[in-house]
Amino acid sequence: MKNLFIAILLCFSSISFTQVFDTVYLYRDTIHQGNVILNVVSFSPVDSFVTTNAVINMDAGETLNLTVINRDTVDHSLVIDDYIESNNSVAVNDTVDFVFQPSENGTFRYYSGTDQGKYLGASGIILVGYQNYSRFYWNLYDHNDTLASEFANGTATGFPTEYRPSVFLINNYTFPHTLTDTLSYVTGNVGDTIVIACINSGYMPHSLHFHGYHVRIESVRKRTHTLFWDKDTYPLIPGEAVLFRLIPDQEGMYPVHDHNLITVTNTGAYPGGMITRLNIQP
Amino acid sequence: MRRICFIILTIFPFLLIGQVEHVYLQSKMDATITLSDGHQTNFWGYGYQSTNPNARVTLPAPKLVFEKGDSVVIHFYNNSPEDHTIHLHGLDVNQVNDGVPSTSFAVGSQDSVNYSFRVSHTGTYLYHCHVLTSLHLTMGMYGMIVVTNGDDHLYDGGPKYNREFDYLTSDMKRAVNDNPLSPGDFFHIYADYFMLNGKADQQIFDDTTLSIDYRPADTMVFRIGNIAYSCTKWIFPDELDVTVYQSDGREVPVSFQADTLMVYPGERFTAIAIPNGIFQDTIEVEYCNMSDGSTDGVNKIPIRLDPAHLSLEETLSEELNPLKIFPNPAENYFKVEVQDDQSKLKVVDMQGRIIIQKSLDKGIQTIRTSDLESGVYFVFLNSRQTQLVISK
Repeated sequence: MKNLFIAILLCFSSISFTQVFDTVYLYRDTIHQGNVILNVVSFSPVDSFVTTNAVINMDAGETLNLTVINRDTVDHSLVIDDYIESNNSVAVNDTVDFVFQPSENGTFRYYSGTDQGKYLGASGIILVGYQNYSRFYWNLYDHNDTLASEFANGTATGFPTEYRPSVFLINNYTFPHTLTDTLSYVTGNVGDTIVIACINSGYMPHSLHFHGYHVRIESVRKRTHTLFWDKDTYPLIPGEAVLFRLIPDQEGMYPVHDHNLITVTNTGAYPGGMITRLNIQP
Repeated sequence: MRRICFIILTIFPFLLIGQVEHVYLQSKMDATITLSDGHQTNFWGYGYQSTNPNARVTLPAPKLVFEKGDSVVIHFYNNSPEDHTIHLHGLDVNQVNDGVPSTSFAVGSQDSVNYSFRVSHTGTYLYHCHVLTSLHLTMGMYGMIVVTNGDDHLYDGGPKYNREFDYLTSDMKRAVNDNPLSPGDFFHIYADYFMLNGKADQQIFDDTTLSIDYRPADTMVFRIGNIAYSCTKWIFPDELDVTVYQSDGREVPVSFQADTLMVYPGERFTAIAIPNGIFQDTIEVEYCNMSDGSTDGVNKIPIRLDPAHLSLEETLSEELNPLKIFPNPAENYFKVEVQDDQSKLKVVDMQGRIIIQKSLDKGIQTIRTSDLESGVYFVFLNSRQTQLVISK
């Protein structure tokens, strides 16, 4: 009996403390998409620059051991709101391990808490749970291309009070390039359960409008009073992390875009910016 | 291709079920509007079709009202020199009726099409042009859609109301409307004129459909939509209990009281507002810049007790100084703080009958209400007044 009890305990402890390991690399580069040229710093899943910040998936109950390797030219840190504070440093060419043990499922945001990191888009998605569903990821980002260049070359004097962004991206892609990004371009069938992990890595709210469907707010970190609301237009304030659940009830091709209509442009050209699509088959 | 779309769309009405509502809209691009400061500028918009060639379009477009379960056909005639569409924002229509040129189709100059759909949920919705949207919205091509429950409930099992006020916030950058052929870079569209149902500033005070003259027993529904580039922050006075029941045409899981309400571009809310006293105040609507959060504009909606409803001996002073009583709701008594000797207190029922009349001395005084039936009363103490609820 005693041995059985110990075995059960061991079994439970192994479930509760399952360790997963992941590594991300900080790199900087310049994005060129049509008339958009933007300096960014990105958490890459491989040891070279990748346009989109790494997406990290975990099962419910797992503990993430995240290794951050800094290949950038300035120091960074790692922050996960409510879990890992910004009082750490990942120096240039340094490697630092972090532990993230979430207490709930849903979307989380990890990011660099340093000025260069914050102002150049080093910010990514962690999705906890929902691994058996059809998953997509929208990392929203906005910037002024001139200001980003100044941050990148060190001449910026701080973030301006009067912010006037010119570039709007999903996963660091602008429309129509978003349509070739398999992370953000949603495909599925009528009746599927689709989850979309969405964070706002930018500096302004983004009011996402879904054509064709309402989505349920399955998890939300900041505007928590909206949990389980069914919405066709959902504002993500800066730093927000949300999980949308979509069960399509009709087939069709529908846009999703920010309804602040300066954001559906690429440095002024329409259409562009923060637009992607839902492609739902019968 | 346009003809094929037209044929497909004209087939759809045969698939409609239930009561079919027909709406005949047109778009035009030759309208002007006088702003609150007297400046006249251009707008593009929708209006009802008419045999009158001079029929105007309006800013905002006509409010469309349907009942839950209705099948709707919007007969749209593009009476303008450029492409337009109608996007039915939030109604979850099928792809061909979605009004997006790249995934549906555009309606060319002088073309006519039918948009067919069924409204399945009560609530507040929008419609707008989805052609070159960054320009066509600031030019004014938008309106509100209301889907009612067909009775005096917000939705099946939802709260009842007896009056309704529908508010659509929008904005424009005047330089763009003044010269839409040279709008400049679209990411530089920062509004400098802010509207509520197309009105601003004093125009709102002068519009009896916007200002609120409430009656004491009113339960008002506020339908709020935001089609602006700005987000709007609604600030309600303390004397108005506002409870939010719906957002984007769906019931929120738990209704909630709101003294302020943020409404971001494209969002809608439906709320019930009940006055908790006699007051005269304003609902403030702040227009917040989405990029840096600054407040770029403010409009105010006046709200006061309907003067025509006051058939009392007393008339309310212009400078209202609400009277505080407690408990309220009360059962067998309430207390009131009297500041002067020989103060005159009256309790008046909803029909204007004086139920209690007393002369009171300075201090905290107790007024017995054992003989009063449950209901709403007015309490007057000299020139001050408030509303009393008796609950037994």
